[in-house]
Amino acid sequence: MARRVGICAVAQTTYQRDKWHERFQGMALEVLEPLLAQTGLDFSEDKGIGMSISVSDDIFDARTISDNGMTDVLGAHMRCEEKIAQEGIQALYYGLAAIQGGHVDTALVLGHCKESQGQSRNMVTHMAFDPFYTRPVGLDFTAAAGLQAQAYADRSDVGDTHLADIVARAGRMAQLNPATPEAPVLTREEVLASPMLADPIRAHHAYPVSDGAVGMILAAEETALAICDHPVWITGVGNCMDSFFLGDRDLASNFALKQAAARAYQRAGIDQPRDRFDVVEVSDQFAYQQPMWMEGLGLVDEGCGGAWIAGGGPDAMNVNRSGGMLAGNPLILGGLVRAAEVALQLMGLAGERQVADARRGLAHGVMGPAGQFHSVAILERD
Amino acid sequence: MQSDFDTSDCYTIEGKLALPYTYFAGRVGSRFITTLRDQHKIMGVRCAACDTVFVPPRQTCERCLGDLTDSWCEVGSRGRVVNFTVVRYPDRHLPRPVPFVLAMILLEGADTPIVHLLEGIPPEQVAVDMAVEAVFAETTTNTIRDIDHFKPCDA
Amino acid sequence: MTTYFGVDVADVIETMPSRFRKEAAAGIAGSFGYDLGEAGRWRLAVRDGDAALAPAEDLDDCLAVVATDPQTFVGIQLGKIDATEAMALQKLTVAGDRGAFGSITRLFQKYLPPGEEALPETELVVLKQTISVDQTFATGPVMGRFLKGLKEKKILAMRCPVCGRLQSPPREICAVCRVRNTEWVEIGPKGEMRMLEYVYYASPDPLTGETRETPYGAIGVLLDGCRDEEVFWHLLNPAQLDRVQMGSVIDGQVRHGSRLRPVWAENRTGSIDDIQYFELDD
Ligand SMILES: [Zn+2]
Ligand SMILES: [Zn+2]
Repeated sequence: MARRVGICAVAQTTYQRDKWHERFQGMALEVLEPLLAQTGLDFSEDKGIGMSISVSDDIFDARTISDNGMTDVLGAHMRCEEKIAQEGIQALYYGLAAIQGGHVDTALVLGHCKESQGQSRNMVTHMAFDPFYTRPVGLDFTAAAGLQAQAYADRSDVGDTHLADIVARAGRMAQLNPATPEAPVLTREEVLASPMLADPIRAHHAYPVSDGAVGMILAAEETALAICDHPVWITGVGNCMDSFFLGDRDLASNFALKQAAARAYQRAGIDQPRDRFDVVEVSDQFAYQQPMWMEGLGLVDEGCGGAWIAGGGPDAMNVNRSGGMLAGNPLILGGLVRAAEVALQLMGLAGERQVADARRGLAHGVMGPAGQFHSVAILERD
Repeated sequence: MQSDFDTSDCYTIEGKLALPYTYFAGRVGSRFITTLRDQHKIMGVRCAACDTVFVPPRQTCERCLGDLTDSWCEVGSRGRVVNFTVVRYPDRHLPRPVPFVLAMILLEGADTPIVHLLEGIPPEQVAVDMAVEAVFAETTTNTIRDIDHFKPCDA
Repeated sequence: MTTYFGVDVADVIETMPSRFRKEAAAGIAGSFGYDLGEAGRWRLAVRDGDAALAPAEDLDDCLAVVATDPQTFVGIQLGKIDATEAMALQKLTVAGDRGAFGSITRLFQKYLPPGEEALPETELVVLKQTISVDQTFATGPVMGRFLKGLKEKKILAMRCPVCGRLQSPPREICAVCRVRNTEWVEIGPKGEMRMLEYVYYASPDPLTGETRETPYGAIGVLLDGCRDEEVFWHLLNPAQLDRVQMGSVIDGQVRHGSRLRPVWAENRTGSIDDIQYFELDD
């Protein structure tokens, strides 16, 4: 059996609309320094951190090979350095694989992004499309989400009021999360009154533009137990990439998420996922995605997303106690922040939003237009 | 921001990410575009293994991994709306002033819908299943926009 | 005779004269050999815009001889096998003048199996597009202080509290010692030329999308107060590209480079362009 890998420390900056006073390096240091302090680790060649895995995106950063200018603040100068240019939760997967494979005993994971830097987040996600077939009609992740929301909402009876309630709840939750000081706190009526962006998605249904950084220290079991009182074990990870062209997919089917979840559950030895998680963090970039991803994870009955919201399902199942993506995280960090939040909950370090005696949690990340790529991680504590 | 953070030396500088690219459509893509442009015909490729007609065409079936380079078939320039959204946020990369409709359109004989502009109808009257037809562009851009947009038509 | 990909090797060979493109053969003269193993050997003689082909035993007088098996030969003619790959795998070798052989491959129209008609050449579509997203770059406190210094005609560096090295432009931490830099030091503004990159081909500047005028000189200047590798990178006055002398330290032997001074921009805004370039301090 592969050796266990634990999350031993978590740190993040606040997530804010415009950290105009800080560049990437400053945000990264704000995460790196507490991680080193919490674990007592350094980057010495013999017993220091064995690998630095950063998460960033060339077009968001406006810098080719966006990790090249970051090596010093990642402790990676003259060391083993890797970058994830995909949903940030993949860095967790990468670190897990490197440690289980025996390459290193410890790994730093650190993601950063400033969505405020570019003039428009939609222009950045527009670049993800094909220059001949899909860019010319103006597709970006918001328009693609509009198409998916339309397809999903009917199938699962998710209406405008349900969506407003999801957003209003996210704001309430975020008030207990010190990392999201600017999360919009809105009433159902305010959400319902916000203008449409891409029908049926309203302006307040979309996650806010934000800047921030998040990081973790991962370690093999022996080291984890030596440097941390409460390591959180990564017991299952799975991902799946669906078709690039929207027309090649059934947008409401959750195909990729079901595959990703099944792979993660199988690795974690979970046959029936229902009621097995004390906390769940899903990357709800748009409000409709919270019930949709919950269905795809097999935690809510298929086609019942609307009823689940109406019945208080998110509170009952401790979904996105952090406020979720709707409270504001950069796109590429969504899943990594979800994993950080689940880890904090399992460590008992979630402050005012702590779920009592949380032992097992699920973190989810999504990237690409209309949920092309999904990644699921199962985290547990002893 | 940490409360003791001194911002007195911090400011911002305006710049750009600006890069000139030359994209290649590929051989399959080139044939699709030149046929669309010169003959106003919309071509797909059919994978015999999974019996699927893909539009836009591609060289390989991602499901069967078969070579589709020479599996051309013509699909209709009419189809029906399977899904749509109304884009209402203005932005520089968008092809039209907002609001405009982006629809997923399943062309006759195709199995995969394409995303395109739907015009000639107020957004609030667009409905799933409505019949639409291609309006070809007068000037070429050598892209899918050699169909300028789709418009409603009789079923 | 054996067929490969449904095609007879002899047909490929025998149709060569009829596929010969006279118009492309100007100035090419000589014999070229084809050694197709069990399938046979041929000599192609090209002279005065004509080609003659005949079976041959001895190919010693040929400028170049291509040796391959008949299957690879036919596969390449039909576009089923990649010639470069076949060469990499040693399934196809060219002895003699490779360049000359390369030129004769262009003398023939594409081979078409009997009964197949030539398709019109497909137009290959390319799209030229400049992607452009406006950016608001944050300086942060460290780069901000450095850039503000330029506005006041000062070049600032930060010193590592552990190893003492100077970095300019300064960074938040010393990558080697992995500690925050703490001490600000003013350096230069004059210094000594250490390195010159004489740039003939300029990439587009991603900040503007425009391409800088060439040639230009990117230089490493050892500003006064700095040592060893603590060079400051900027531009050289393009008119002085051929007048500067690089300095070096080899085995402790110091060779001093040209003395340089910054030329400050009239309107300084707190950006790296506040120094227009460096020029000779004579
Ligand atoms: Zn297929
Ligand atoms: Zn140092």
